[in-house]
Amino acid sequence: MDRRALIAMLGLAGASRALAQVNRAIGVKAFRFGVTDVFLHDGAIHLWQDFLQSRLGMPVQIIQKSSYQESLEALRSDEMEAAWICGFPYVVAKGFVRLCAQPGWHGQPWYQSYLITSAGRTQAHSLADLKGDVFAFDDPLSNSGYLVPVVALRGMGQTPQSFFRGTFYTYSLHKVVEAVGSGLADSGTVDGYIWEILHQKRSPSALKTRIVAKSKRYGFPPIVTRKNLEPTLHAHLQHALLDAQSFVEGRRLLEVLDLQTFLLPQEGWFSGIQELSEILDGTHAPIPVGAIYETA
Amino acid sequence: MSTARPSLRNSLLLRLPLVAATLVVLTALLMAAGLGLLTQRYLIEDVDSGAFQAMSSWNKSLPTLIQQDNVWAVYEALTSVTKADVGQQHGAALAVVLGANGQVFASSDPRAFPTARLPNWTPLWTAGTLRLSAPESPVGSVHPGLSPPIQSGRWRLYVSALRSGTGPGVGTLVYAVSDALYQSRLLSMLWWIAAITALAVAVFVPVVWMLSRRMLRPLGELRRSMDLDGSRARRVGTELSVRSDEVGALAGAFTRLLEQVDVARQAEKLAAVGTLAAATAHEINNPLGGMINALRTATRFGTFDETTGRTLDLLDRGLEQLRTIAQALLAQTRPAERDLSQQDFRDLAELMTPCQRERRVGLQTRIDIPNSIPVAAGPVRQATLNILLNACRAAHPGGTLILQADTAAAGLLRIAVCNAGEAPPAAMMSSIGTPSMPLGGVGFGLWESRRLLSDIGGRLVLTHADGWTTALIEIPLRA
Repeated sequence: MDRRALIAMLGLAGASRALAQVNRAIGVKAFRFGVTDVFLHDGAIHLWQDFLQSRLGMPVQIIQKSSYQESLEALRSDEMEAAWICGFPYVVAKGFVRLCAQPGWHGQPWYQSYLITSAGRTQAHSLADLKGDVFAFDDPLSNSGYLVPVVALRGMGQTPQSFFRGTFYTYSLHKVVEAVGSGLADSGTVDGYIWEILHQKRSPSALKTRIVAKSKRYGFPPIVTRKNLEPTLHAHLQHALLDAQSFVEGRRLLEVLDLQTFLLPQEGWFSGIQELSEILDGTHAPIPVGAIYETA
Repeated sequence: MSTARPSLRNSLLLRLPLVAATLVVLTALLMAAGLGLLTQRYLIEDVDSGAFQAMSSWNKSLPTLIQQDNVWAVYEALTSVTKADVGQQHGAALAVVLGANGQVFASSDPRAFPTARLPNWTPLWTAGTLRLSAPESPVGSVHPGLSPPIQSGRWRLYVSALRSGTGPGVGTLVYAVSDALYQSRLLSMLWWIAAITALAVAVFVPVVWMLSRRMLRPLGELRRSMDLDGSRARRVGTELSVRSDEVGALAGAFTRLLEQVDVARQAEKLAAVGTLAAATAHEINNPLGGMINALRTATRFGTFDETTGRTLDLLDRGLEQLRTIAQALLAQTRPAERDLSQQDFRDLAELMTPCQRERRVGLQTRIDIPNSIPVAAGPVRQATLNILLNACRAAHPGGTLILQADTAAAGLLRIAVCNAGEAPPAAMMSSIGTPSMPLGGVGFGLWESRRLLSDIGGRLVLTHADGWTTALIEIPLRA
């Protein structure tokens, strides 16, 4: 029996148990869900796996990628079925991925990019004050960890190379915090969601940093699936995520991630990132720094 | 003998255990010091070994990361080692990577060595503080290209050029390890060494003290016996002399010394008796002479009946015998008063008359000496008289005694007394050779004669052959 046809027959409602039975019957491969070092928290991988397996009714493999580029490559080459990526990679990869669910931080689909520096450097209050620094980026495909400050610099007629004394990538948001906290970098750019959680947990690195400026709100990093994934499986995953609060495994995952819910994503939430991406590509005119960063 | 209380100054019984205990302590301290130095050497060697391993690992991984401009990965590579090395000790290890432009590419302590700036080496060294030192082990030789450690103050530095394959250098790696890294471990191990040393001293010092005191206990007993009276001291010495060690030999010698002291005391007593006898003889001799003269005058010129005549004759012989004894005692107490003369031999012949008469023994004298001979007259007279009396009593009745004297041998007076008769008893023969007074009175005359002669350097030899007993006296002439 054809597996896709069988799933279509079963439908979505109450399909978990039936889907599991079918998957076992046909020897289905594991559902592969990608995460990056960006959003990892202690025990999060295990909780992701528990939650998805319980809700999808099939084996789930959590694949950790070290960069967004690797995540996108894995999605495009069918190595993963879904992934939690940043808004900028989503904008870049719209051709082969689609939105599945939107984590709701404080119940909202928004977050900010923070410019941070060492806690003792109290005189820095804007991007301009960071001139000549060694600056830490997260990932070249990160919205908060790269795109926002670079586009802001473009608005100032600068490039990272001209504005900073040196730059480097950490490929992890919490490592940006650690780089700035240790003094390896004079300043850096980080996801506000990550910085707030680290600060809330009294992370030593985070406590050694302070916020220079916060950006305007952008769409929170979404969960996407590859476009060629079976629609029913996409729908099944989306349904599981949106209904996460209803189950123990889901609540436990949300609690660890410091999220309140998963929302049904809207394309418009990523228009800001789309605009920044176009500015970076040169297809959109630069915008003033003030249109990107609010004061700290 | 000293009865002073034993002290370190005068007692080996305290000093030797103390020396042994001190040696134990010194040995323990010396071993502890050696162990401490060895531990320090091993710890430094361990630091060198770990540093060279880290450098080798970095030499392989860092060049690629530098070429990728991956500052964070280099930082992680450095801190993964320095934080592991440092453990709880903040700032005990430091690694700095310089780029090809000489600026800091990344360091494990970015605040001391900021990224993308020329390094300020002041925290690690200043001019004149560097000291190149050989590695503590040959571990460096298995890592070719690595420099030997450089000591700078409390830091031990390792430097390596970073190369990508066989290409040009892409940077320089400086790894610094603080002495504090091994010193805390050294301190910990030194505490252990000190504790074990203290324990060893606490155990072995009492043991050594007890054993040495135990070994010296017989010596202490011998020492204490010196404060006892003669018999008890001799008993202790006799008990200890059975030992086969040096203490036994010492106890034996001590016992013999005590016996000689007893003999000397006995001789002193005899000398005192002699002095008393001489004084008595002197007091008796003078009135005795007068009594004899009076008796003989009366005998010569008086007329007495037969009974009275026999009585006077008996008195004369008795008084004469008393004078002989008195004179002999006087002669014995004045050993160096005058030289021997021919008259002394005539006196001896006179003194022998009563015994000759009693034993019906004749006396032949062959005196071939000058009128005066430089030997002490008293001892020679007494010794010769004793021997003559012995010979007279030993001679067969009706036999003959022979008294000869000559100076034929140079510097020597030789006197021989011979009598025909039985061989002298063995006790008498042996009494001549022993320093102790013979028991039971047998041979006392000969023993006393030998003693008198030995006092003036003479000797007495008693022989018996062919029915004749000969006593030979040899006395060296005085210078």
